[in-house]
Amino acid sequence: MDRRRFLELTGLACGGLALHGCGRGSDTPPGRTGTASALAPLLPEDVRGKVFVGHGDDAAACLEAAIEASGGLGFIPKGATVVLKPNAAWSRTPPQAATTDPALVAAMTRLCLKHGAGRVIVFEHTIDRPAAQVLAMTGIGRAASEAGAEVIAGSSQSDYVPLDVPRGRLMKRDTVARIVRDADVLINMPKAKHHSATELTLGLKNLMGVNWNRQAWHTGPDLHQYIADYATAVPIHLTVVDATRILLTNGPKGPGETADPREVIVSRDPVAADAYASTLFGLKPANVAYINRAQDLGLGVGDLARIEVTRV
Amino acid sequence: MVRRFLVAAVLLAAAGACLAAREDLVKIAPDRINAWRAVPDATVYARGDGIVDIYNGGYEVYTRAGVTEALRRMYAQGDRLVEVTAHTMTSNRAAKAFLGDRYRMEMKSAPPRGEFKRFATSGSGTTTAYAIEGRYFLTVVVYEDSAAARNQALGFVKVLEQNASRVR
Repeated sequence: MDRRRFLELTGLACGGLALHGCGRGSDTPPGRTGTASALAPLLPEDVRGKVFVGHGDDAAACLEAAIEASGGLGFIPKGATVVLKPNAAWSRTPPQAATTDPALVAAMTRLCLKHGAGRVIVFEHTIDRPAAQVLAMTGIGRAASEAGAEVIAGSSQSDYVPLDVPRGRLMKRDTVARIVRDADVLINMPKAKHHSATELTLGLKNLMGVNWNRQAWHTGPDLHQYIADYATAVPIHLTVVDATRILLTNGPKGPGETADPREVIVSRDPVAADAYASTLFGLKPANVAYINRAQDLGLGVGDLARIEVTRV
Repeated sequence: MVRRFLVAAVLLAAAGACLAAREDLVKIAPDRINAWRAVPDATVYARGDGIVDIYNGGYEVYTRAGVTEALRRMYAQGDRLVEVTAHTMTSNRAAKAFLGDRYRMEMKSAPPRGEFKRFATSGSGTTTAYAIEGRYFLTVVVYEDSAAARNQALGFVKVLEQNASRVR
């Protein structure tokens, strides 16, 4: 099932719910989401729980090796529009480890284009502003452009469209960047780092940067559930976790202490990618509640015992 | 009619208080600090839960500590940048306690005894200076971790302290 079809189906599935108070904070009981169960499974069985880790000083080489080991980019149709979602939210430089390494974003762009993608868009809803300055400080703006990507910051509410979340337990409706909705493929490229509200910010949480109103999630009743719910409606085709350097304290923005695992984590399973990444901080997936919530929603494997890690 | 008038008066008073509070923070972090100029469109002012606009998920650390409002500004001189955040806290005591918390977190030791108003820390391409003046908690981030950056951060934060002492 392609991305547009998936989003169309989720929209159709929620059509009836809209008549019954569909929205964030709806009191619809978990599992009672009408036709949502009719949706096809998003994650193919053969990629569940499989994680590939590139290790070394050259981030781009780590990425290429891990992607090759994972079977390549065959899920990208020729001529497809691919959106890369790095963490480029903050006015921080790469050594501060609050944003995705620009070398990785550039390398991913080149790989997608080499594989036949028609268009690669690097998208972020920056938190600091102005967005142009943030993209310049992170190094992502220039690196991605030079590699052949379009770089777009969704700074206006008009850049976002309503999103139904029929499989969500708490969230039933939100917004998504129009560019992400209309893309064929979404590659999520989070920075692995500490987060004072959720312990860690990894791939699933990085999706907060494709919605418009982040504040509502933070001030709502259960941020972890929102994060997991949202991922049921925004399919991630590949997760690339930047763990070349990680932020250990004072996240999400820092500055704080850093460490250098020199790893790039690649997985088609967004939950397994996050579960493995949590171990780099001396944690277990259970310490990061949204990982378990996402597993409960069938988005992937969060149980380390069921995750197969291939190191390259 | 009287009721409507009262509601309008209360709303106007609240808006006035908000503007005055913001003005105080702008006096601490004005458009120019020595040769540094505030970057256009990079200023964020927030109160209460709105502080999420500045700290995103980290905002609760600040509100729990007693931060009631904050002003974030970025200053530029050529291609060099400095990030400044001025926070109003519920009391002088809250500001002092928060500075102590930051010291413990950054320096992994207890803060110095007696009069303790500022410190700086460096690493991973960053130098951060923290300071208090009355109920204001001030931070300065310089995007380098050299000795010169440390002096720059401390110099910057001292100017902010002086400005804050005038609006206490």
